[in-house]
Amino acid sequence: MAQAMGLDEGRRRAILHDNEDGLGEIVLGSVMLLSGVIGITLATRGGFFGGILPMAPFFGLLWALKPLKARIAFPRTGYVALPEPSKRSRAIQMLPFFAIAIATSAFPFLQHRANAFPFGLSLLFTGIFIVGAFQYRMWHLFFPACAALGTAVWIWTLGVGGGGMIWLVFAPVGTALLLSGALRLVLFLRRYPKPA
Amino acid sequence: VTELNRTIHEPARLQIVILLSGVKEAGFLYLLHESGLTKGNLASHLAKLEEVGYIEIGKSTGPGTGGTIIRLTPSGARAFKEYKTTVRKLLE
Repeated sequence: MAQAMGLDEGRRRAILHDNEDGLGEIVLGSVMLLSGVIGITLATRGGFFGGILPMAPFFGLLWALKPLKARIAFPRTGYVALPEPSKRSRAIQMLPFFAIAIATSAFPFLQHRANAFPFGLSLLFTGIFIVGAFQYRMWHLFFPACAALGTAVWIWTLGVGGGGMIWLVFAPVGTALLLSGALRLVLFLRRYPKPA
Repeated sequence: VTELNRTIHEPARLQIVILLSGVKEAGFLYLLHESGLTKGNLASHLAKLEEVGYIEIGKSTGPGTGGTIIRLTPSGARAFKEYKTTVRKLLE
């Protein structure tokens, strides 16, 4: 028998389905944690590798997620491919980063605080997770949101900052995502045992 | 009186079209899982939608995709858009 469904619910259902297994959070969390650790380790050295190496784990996102999905999630709950984001939505995603850059260059008191950018980035992550939680009713996103907000408070109050400390934000947020994803994966595997 | 598209208006087919409208493509198992329909029921409604050209059913060799890939055609997407407009007009 068909279930009740709103006419515009297709995309939301697909996103919820795609995130139900927690694999996206595990991969993104691992990548952020790894980037954070590499970034913090190399922060004092600077130079070409200090700036480039922490970005390297992000390339892992491209190849790690799909095989994991194919092996763990698709055989249990089905294959789904979400539509590519439009140019407009990509531009909107980039807006907060421009906003931070403009804010830090426009307000002199922010420039004098070496931790302004990591603080702004932490708040940005907090906002992204909270918007995602309400938009798709994925309440578990409040956990990484709290981690990001805690990081922002910690950075601002203790004045943690300096060259390369932007990566400091990635480690706690990545850990929160990793833990949240791992818990969701366990629940997913219990709910949907591997088909015979 | 504005006519509703009877092919899409049937509850199970409407559900399938709604699910496909939010994705690029989906496997049979995804539709089965999300719709709550039985395999036979889902297959017969998919056949009907394919017959009128609203969906495309193809085979995929990609790992874990389950073999059968279903996607809404441009004609199906247009029909669904018109259906939504008609329903909203009727409800106003």
